[in-house]
Amino acid sequence: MTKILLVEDNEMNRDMLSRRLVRKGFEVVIAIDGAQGVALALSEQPALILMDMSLPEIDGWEATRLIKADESVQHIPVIALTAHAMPADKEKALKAGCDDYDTKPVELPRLLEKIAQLLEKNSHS
Amino acid sequence: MIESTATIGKHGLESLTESLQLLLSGLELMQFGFAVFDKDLRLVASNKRFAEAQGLDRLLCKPGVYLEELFRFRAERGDFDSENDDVETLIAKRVNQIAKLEQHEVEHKFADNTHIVFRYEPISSGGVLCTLNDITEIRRAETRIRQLARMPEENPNPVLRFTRDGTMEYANQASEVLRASINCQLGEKGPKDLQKLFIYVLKTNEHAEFEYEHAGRTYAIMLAPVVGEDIVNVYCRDISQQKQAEAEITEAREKAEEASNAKSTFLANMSHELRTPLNAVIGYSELLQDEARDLPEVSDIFVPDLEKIHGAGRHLLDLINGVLDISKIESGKMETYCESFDVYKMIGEIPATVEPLVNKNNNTLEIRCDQNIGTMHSDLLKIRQSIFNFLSNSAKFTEQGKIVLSVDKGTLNGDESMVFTISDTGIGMTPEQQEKVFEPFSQADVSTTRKYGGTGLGLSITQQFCHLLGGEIEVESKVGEGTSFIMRLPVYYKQNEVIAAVPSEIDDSPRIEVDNNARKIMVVDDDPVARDLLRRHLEKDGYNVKTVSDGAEVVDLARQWQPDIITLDVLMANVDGWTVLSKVKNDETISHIPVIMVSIVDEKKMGYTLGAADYISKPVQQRTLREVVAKHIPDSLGQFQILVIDDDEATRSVVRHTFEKLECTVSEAINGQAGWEQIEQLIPDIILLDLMMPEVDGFEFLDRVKRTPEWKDIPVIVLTAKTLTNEDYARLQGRVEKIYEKSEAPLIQILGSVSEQIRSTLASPHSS
Repeated sequence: MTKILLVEDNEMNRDMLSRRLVRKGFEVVIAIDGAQGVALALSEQPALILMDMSLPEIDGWEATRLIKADESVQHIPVIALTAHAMPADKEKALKAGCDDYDTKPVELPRLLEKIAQLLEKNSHS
Repeated sequence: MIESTATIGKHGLESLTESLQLLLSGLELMQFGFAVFDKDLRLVASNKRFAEAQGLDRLLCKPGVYLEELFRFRAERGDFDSENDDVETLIAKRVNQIAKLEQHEVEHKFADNTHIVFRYEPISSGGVLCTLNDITEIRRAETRIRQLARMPEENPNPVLRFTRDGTMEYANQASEVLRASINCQLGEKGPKDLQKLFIYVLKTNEHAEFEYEHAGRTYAIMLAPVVGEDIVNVYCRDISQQKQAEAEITEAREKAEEASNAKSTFLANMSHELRTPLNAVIGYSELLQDEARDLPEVSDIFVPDLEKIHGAGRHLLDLINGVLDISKIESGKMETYCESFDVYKMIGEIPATVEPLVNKNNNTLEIRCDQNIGTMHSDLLKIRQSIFNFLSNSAKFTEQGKIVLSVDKGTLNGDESMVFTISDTGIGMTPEQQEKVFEPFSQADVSTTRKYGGTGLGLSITQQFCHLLGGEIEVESKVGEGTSFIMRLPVYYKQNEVIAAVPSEIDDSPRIEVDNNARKIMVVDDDPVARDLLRRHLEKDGYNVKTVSDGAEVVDLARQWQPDIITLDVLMANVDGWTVLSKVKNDETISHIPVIMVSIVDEKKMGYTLGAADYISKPVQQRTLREVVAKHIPDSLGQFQILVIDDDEATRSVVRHTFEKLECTVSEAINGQAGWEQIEQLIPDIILLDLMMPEVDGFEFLDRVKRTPEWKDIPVIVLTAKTLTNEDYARLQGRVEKIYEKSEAPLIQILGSVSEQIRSTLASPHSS
């Protein structure tokens, strides 16, 4: 089963998204803040990371930067989940090293497609 | 004529006659009228002018005629008609006056408006001399002067005149209040700084304008020098009301900005607050639907109800989004974010999102877009939202029909445009409905909303988006046949540029191009007018200027602000310029800043000894100022690629800051290892190398660089905090351009030397 790390501080969002991903056949690992996100990325080595951008402890951008700076996990695709597609947010996410971004509220089909694309790209490289 | 005397010899008589004739000819030609009367007031001699000026016949004015007769003629002519006496009285009065044989003057205005002044002088040997002078022009000039002199007096604004030494020579009525406020009255000397100003303004022969505040009133004052007369005219205007109005406007504007910002914050917060719980409603209802579908026993019961919740949640979200969008647009806070994107790719992502809506009414969706239609530079999100809006409308109002989205190239106002057409075979609209279709909350009609759903905001928002992006929307429709929306957008949309029309004074001396952001000049002078003048000159040339009025503040401010140049007035009241200069030159953090002395007095030699960079004399000419400043401004080093390798962030930061100002590109590495990685990606023109670093230190870094053929020729400058041993020097000898120890001087100063070193290293061709 493909392991996805979900880094999201909002309980309801976390609950909804993880359950739906599980239903779609993914194994979901949860982190509730940026620091935990980085730690779990290192220890769990997921196939993909869904990173909420506004997080406590370290925010999503910083967490992504840290992950992308670490050799052991920098290859893992990161999708940034931004609250409201402010263009500045998108640019910031990509600058921090995110491979893609999606907006909240999450539209599952769209998100699933992005996940699929990134996983496929990775399996080829 | 003088009767001959037999006693004088024939020669003597001739020469006497000659002299006499010469004398009389001279008198004839004189511009003054003259007449000599004997003690009996009989005319002895007169010149042409005497008769002419009075309008008398020369024949009348022949020797022997009595003065009385001349007056009689004039009286009968009517010269004295303004007086109410009879002729004899008039004559007698005048004759008697002159008969007194006292020196006196009489002015008379003749009928032809000439003013003649008669001057009577008693002659010692008896008799009287009369000279007359035409003062018509003088009188005319006097009238003119009187007329003009009324004007400053009548002027409701203060008008004053001062002499060069500051004495008030004239002050009109209206200047009373101003005079009281500067505590100076006629004949007194004005305030000292005003005096300095007068001298200055007389020297430059230019008007000076400034504002002056006192006791709650503000005056706009203009000094107009009259160099030839060494006076300064002062014209004032009470602009207190204007100032007040300006202050009120500024306050109002600030309040409005505050309110606007508060509104933005409110919108942003509301947006977040409203969406968060809605996301939960929508999300959970979706989730539960999925889960319920897996449980056949409950599926039929729960799913429809959950669908209703989901639908309501979505609808509410659409409404909120719509209202917030409209609100943003209407308060001018809707921003566009433009990027380049492939149109075909964007279109390709759309079907997936509208599919459920399209299928709901058994419609089909066709996309017509050429794969190579090209790219657009515009707000992708807004365009996508607009297209989605059109499609969802079509899907709503069409049943078992066809919806087509086609994209073509076109032109819009002469520019290349992308044309998006969404057509459907739906219910269509009447002309009346078409007219209102873009208005918010006026969905074709109320019943439509109820039947078809929707928020009634979509098209209004879409139209606004379209206009924001420089485009146009059209609608074509026929009831029962279908509707087409056509959206034309420029292919390349440039976000609004603010063009500030700054009226510039015509100055035809060559402007030296300066990078606005980098050049900071500190102007030090205790005289507000001089300060202001320098500031204006420098700002016109694009420099960033801060002014300082007290010499004592210079060192602290310069340390903080780190100007590129300081101009320093020598003659200052509180702390004199030379003292300030030596303080600056003795302070490590700012001693590298060039100081330009500005003074009335010529003290160049002293200046250079104490460390001044240059000298300008007052009054400061714009051209001189410009040239001297440009000479000392740190100019560009050259567009070099510099790699700075140092584990200390502060150092890296200062290096970056300093050299980016000099138009270099700076890349950083935190240790030797990172340094190698940087070089692998891009070979720099020069490397600034720290020695003490973790992982790979400077020595190790250098070793490898020198061993690598492609890298060994990159010049290296060492910048280290380490106190070097002989051994260290040996290791570096011959392999680095220069070594700088950070302990020697403040970093900024060292970097000054470093940049000179870089200049000389990179300017000269490097031998391998």
